[in-house]
Amino acid sequence: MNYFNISYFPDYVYIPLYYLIGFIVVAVLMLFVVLFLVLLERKLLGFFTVRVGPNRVGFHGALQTVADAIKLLFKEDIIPLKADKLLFTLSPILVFAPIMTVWAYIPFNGFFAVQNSVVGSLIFLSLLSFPILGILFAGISSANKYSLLGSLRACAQTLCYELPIFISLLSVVILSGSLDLNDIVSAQSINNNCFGWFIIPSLLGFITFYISSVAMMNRVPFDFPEAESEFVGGYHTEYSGMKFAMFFLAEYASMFILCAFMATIFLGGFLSPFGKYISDFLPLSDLIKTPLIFIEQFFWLILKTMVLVVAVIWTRATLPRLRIDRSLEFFWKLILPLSILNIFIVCLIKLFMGAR
Amino acid sequence: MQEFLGLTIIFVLSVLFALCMLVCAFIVRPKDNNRIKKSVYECGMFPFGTAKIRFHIQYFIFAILFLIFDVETLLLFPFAVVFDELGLFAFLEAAIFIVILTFGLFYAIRKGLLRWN
Repeated sequence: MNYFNISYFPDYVYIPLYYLIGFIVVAVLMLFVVLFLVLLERKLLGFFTVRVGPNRVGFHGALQTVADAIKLLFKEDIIPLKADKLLFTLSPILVFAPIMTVWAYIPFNGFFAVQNSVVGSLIFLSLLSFPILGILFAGISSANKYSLLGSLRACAQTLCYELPIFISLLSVVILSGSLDLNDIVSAQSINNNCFGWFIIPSLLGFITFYISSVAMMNRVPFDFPEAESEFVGGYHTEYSGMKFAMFFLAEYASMFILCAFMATIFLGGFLSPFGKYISDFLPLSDLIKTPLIFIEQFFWLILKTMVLVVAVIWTRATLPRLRIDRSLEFFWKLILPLSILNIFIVCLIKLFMGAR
Repeated sequence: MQEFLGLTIIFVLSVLFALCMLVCAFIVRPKDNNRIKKSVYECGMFPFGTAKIRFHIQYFIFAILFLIFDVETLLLFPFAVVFDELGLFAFLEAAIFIVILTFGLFYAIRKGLLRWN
């Protein structure tokens, strides 16, 4: 916020303008990322199952998702006669809006996070627990048995993942002493290389966070809310056209942004794993060097995020779906105690290794 | 205060963005009034019964335990932020707090409460 604060404008013009521009940047980034991720997932799944994947539209299927989006735009919107029309229309927005808001909180490099916040990481995760309301409304308002069951399962799922995620975040907060995402990243630059990253003292925390966030994204092996082979489409059985597209968009956007969050708090965020940037070695003036470093930082964050995203897709290709009761027990009897154990480990490391 | 103003502005913009998408689709999409198409989808059969029923939530105990642990986590966040300054004594206090609650969790597990019937 302060970086651009050149007092050309009065505050009441400047603040909305700033957020509008930041929002547009984030929105464009999000749409591109989602278009790319859908294609990446289909290509990768094709590769894992020895198929070709989409290869008709554009160069090797590069425009496939654009074509899909246009097709969804022109699809008829069917609202069942018995459905609660207001809630039915509201719920995709309720799922989509928080996930889009959350994009403003990730520091994409040392320079650009649309919104720096002292409690950034908490706000991030709290906003991400909103969509469950949208999913519940979607299931109940559709007046469809599949949707109802799907949304009830989504609620059960919330009870699984929410606790391990927050407790794993707690370990990171203990290590960094701050809830601010920028501070968390800079706390990981102590050693000036990848050994300062929080994944090392809090490895168990990373594992529990990863598993729970796969559940949070509603993806295989925890995709109960929309288990398509069990109840058609789960909570979005009755949705079509743009409303379905919004659920779809929200799913992929949350997948990317959760991986970016994981990369930020455990894998050093936008920091280079070697401590130095290529631009540091170039004989350039600071005026050119600084933007180059920011571009490099952005590249590192995206690279780490993509590694995690590919891991998530790989998980989907590898594992079958769990049973919902098994999943509840898995989370409550294994993951939750492990994440609590992780807090103790992290506290002890912090106490007895001090400088870490 | 300004960061929450920013949160509000961005949230409102996201809602507007979502509404824009819906309105765009509303303008260009075909409209069709087909009663059969608008009936509830049940794999192509005529739907029987209604979905607005009373249901038994089988994970009630999970929800109560969830509440307890959620509050615990929230109580631990201030402790985590100032962990550096507090040192060993605060760690022991927090440890007792966590251990008591974890003991509760294991008690619930041993009692067989965390089971989906």
